Amino acid sequence: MNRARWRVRILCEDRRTEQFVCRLCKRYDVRVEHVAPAPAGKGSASAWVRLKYATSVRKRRSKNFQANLGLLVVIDGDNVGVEGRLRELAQQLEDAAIDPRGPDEAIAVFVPTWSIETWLAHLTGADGVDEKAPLKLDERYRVLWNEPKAASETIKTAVAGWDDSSTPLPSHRAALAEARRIGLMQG
Amino acid sequence: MLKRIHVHNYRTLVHFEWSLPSSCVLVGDNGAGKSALFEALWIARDVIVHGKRIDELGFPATRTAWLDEPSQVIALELEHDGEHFEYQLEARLELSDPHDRSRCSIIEQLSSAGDLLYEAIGGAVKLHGGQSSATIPFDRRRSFLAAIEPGPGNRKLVAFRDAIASMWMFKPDPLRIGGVASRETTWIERDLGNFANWYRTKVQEDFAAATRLREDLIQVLPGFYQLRLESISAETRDLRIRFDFGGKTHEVSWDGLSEGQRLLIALYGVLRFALEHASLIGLDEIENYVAPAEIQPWLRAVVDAALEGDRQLLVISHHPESIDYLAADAAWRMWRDPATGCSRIAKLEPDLDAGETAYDLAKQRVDDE
Repeated sequence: MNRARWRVRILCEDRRTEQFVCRLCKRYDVRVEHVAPAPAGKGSASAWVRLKYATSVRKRRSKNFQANLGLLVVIDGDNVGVEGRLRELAQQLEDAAIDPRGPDEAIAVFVPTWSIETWLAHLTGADGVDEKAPLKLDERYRVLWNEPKAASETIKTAVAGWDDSSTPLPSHRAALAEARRIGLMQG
Repeated sequence: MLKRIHVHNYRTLVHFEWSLPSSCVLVGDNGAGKSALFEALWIARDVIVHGKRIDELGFPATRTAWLDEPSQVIALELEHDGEHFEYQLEARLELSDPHDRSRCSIIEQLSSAGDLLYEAIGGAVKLHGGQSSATIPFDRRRSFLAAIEPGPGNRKLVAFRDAIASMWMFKPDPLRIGGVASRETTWIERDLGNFANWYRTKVQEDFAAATRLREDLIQVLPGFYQLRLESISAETRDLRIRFDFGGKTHEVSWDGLSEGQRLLIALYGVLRFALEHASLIGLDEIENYVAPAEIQPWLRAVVDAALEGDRQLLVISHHPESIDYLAADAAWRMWRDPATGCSRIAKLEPDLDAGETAYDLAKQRVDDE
């Protein structure tokens, strides 16, 4: 029996990340039900996502009867990395006295490291991309997103290359595994 | 892109100045001046593009209640297709008879990169360009810009008018959106009141957009199958909606829809038929009548279109869902200065490290800060 179409709520750091994951959802026919991007403001957008994580998990679990409803959290790895961010998010649940994320629970966490721009550059085939330093402002890559139209094209190309990278970055490889939790996969 | 707007002596806007971002949500209490700001832009558009007389556009009744000044001013600074324009429109009431609305005139000035292109004072229009300038007599209550025919000598004037024409502002009123299309029109009204007439034109012009509109509506309106224009006379068409539930089809008239359904159809129509032609999209309280779960997908599609086409998006909202979603770009707040009553504006900057949202700040009163 076919499972019902996946629906997903998204918690993320910024508009560019939203554009990327929404397009990814469209590619896999996952319906985006709601997006909560961090506001433009002072301070760290990753801190904002961390602080909203527990509430988002609680909200998702309040609808556990909807098996096809997922939560996708996207938080930049920066200098903390995938494991570090996952630990931070787990700590948020513990601090809020909420059960930890289950191994098959429909809550996926993407940690683009260093940032979403690292993934965009890598997935569009740019040379010399690694996760060890930020490249958002690097002159070699800025052409990929410094104009709105260019950024839009970059996102389309990156989404097309989401699952056919033969040498995925470690944070991308981790995200490919996470994506299965919420139906972001073929078939 | 509209870079700056200055409005003086218009409702609560007194020496009001705003350097606009590329996209933002505009919040504030009722009466703070948000809609007045959009109205001022709309008036400039009506004067420059549609050639409307200034006394048909609320002048002089819209003057600031506590000022006793005869002139209202709207000034715009914008960039369009590589040109930088500065324009000022002044509506002046002749003080000899302040109750006679016809005793008014407009003064205009348009320059590009510091060079004066056009000016109009008391019915005398001066066109500047190249080595020569010309003076033309014209109606003192209308803008000659609306009447200019495209030609090699006035390329910049026409480019400016096109830039203003591509600023679309909407304040939908579902109660005014009727389903009878009595004629065809290429212009959609600000309240979407003539949606049926406009849809009748657009569906013939852009089949691809009509197909996308149908796909959108299938997603957002349960059971939606198609929009259909039925002939009810030689001239008139009736907009009807076909639904399909469980393989059984039925059709309802436009009036048989709820206000929310009408609004969603009109908003998705705007998304698919109009946004491609807009450089600026202004939306004034579009969430009335629809659920948050219904409006966010539409806003996401508009934000997507704005980003892809490098379009400016300005949204007035009181709704937490819309405010927090749109604040990812920027949030600005308007309020009334308690000492003067004049409208003020400032950017909201939520403290992300404290998990603050734009709505958290928007619901605080200014004098609480």
